Amino acid sequence: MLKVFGGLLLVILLLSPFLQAKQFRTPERALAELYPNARIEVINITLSREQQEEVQKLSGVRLDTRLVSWYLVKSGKEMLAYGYIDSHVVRTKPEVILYTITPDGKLDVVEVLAFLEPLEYMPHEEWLKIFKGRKLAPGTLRHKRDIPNITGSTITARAITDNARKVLALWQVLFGGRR
Amino acid sequence: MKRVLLFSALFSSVVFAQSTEERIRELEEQIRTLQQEVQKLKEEQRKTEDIKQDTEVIKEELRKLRLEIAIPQLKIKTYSGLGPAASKAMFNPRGVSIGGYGELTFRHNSVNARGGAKSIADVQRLILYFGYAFDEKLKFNSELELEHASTSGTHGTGGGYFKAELAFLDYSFRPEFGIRGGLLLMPVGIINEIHEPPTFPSAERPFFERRIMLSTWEEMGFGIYGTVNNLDYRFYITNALMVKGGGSYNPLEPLKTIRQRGARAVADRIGFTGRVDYTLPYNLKVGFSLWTGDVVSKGGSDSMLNLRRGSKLGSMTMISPHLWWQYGGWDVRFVGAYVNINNARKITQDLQGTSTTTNPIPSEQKGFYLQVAYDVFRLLKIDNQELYLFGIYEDYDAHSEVPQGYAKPPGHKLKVYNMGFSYKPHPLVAIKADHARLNYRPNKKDENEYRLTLGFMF
Repeated sequence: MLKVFGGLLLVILLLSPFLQAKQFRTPERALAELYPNARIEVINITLSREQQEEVQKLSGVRLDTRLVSWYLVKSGKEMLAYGYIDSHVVRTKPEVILYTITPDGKLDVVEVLAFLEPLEYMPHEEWLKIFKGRKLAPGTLRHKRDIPNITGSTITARAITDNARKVLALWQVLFGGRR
Repeated sequence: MKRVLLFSALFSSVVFAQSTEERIRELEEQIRTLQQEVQKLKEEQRKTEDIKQDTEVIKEELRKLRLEIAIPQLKIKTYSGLGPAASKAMFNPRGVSIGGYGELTFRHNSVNARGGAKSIADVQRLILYFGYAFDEKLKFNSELELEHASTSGTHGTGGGYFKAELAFLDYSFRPEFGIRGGLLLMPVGIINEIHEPPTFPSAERPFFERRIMLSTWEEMGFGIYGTVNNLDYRFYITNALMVKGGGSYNPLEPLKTIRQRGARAVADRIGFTGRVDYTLPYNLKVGFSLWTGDVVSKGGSDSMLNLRRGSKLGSMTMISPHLWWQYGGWDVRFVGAYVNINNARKITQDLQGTSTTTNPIPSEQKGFYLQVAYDVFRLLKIDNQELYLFGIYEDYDAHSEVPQGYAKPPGHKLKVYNMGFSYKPHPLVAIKADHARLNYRPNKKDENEYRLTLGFMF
């Protein structure tokens, strides 16, 4: 019987990476894992109407809030990245996406923090890597043209792509010298 | 001419002196006005600063609120005297709340698991917590329990029962003071109140908690509770205990026969129970619990002394110190108990008749258990999952004293060596396996138990 128990323990140890229950991570935790040893500061910014309109004009996406929160990822005085959490409804349920932007205005990481739609619609990691290095420029972030579709998850793919433009436009207006 | 010149000189100096004084007065007035203006500006600046700070606070709160809605985080919290799943109703601000837990077990006993069989697979407990918040302070909470999958004796080797284990109304005036009344869990030991399977590492509740602390033990009552700084307290008045009679008496867990559990409990006499916990740094909790009250007869055909139902037979007092440390992956627990049964002879006679050859109700019980558990996944830097390895040592005597003339029953002393693991792929789910070595003394064969449990709560 002891051997059975030992075997069970071994099986659990081997299976534990696959059994891991998906739990939602907070932005602070996700950023701490993406940028180890970095310091994370939160700033909440109220946009003027002009800034809101400029973001919409630059991205072609509606910005339905003037209160935005950014996560500044720093190491000492050096800025490593800017993080933004975008929560939007995909079909009927929300998804929460973390976008990080390098100090020179390129997308660094796009990661799903929470996805409440059925999991078959959730984008896979390889697809999310396509965004790395993209800037807010014509012909870089258009769904189905610059960014490929995800078969069977068109609405998800479109939402993440459109909001990537919105987040880059926000960064441009707030931190990219066009304030 | 000289006179005229002198007069005009004098006049002009007087006028000059007068205009200087006026000028000074004017300047002083201006300075006062300016000071008032500066003061006003300072106040306005302070107000603007305050408003700015307020705005920042509101913005930050909005950010948190948005995140909480978008990324709900699992918070495992316990409300005064209740496990995490049972606490759900107490934290719910309004309306219905539903929770529950399950304990599905496999047990192999080297001597006898049940009626001669050595292995038993059992839906030991399926629980439904059902609560309602009338408002933020007034709540109803209940625990409905189905034991052993069925209430039918013809299913398997016999089903169990469906009963209420908890049903009370609670009014919290403030964190320091609340009142509750109904069917309450007795606040003794650790497991009796917080017994959802993922909250403790062993495959089954420790023997000491079940056989000496009488888990699960609930009685009708009312009382007060609260938290004052680091001090948690609960004090209840309950119905008395009653000898069950009817021939069901297990000398390995003798006092389980005197619980009433809210089933038309005889309340001619009362009991008193309470508990105090003090939280020290590093989440180290120390405290003690107490139960003291009368033991009465069930009367009629269940009373071997032919007493009236509710007649007093004796009394029971249980005093139990405890220590509980959950910190940095450790879960260390100690529970001790000293139990004194006054007039155990009369209680035994009412239960068993006047012959002294029967197994008696003890006049004294004492013992303790110590648990040390650690989440080894912390060492392997594995997040979001836990793997507790644990050891429990139990040492108690269920009949350390018996009424004069009676013999102590076989196996009244028990030492348990329990080792195993609890794997939690999710904080609300536990897969547990362990081995318990039961060393009975005297005249009872030692046992080896191997147990596997699937436990969950929500």
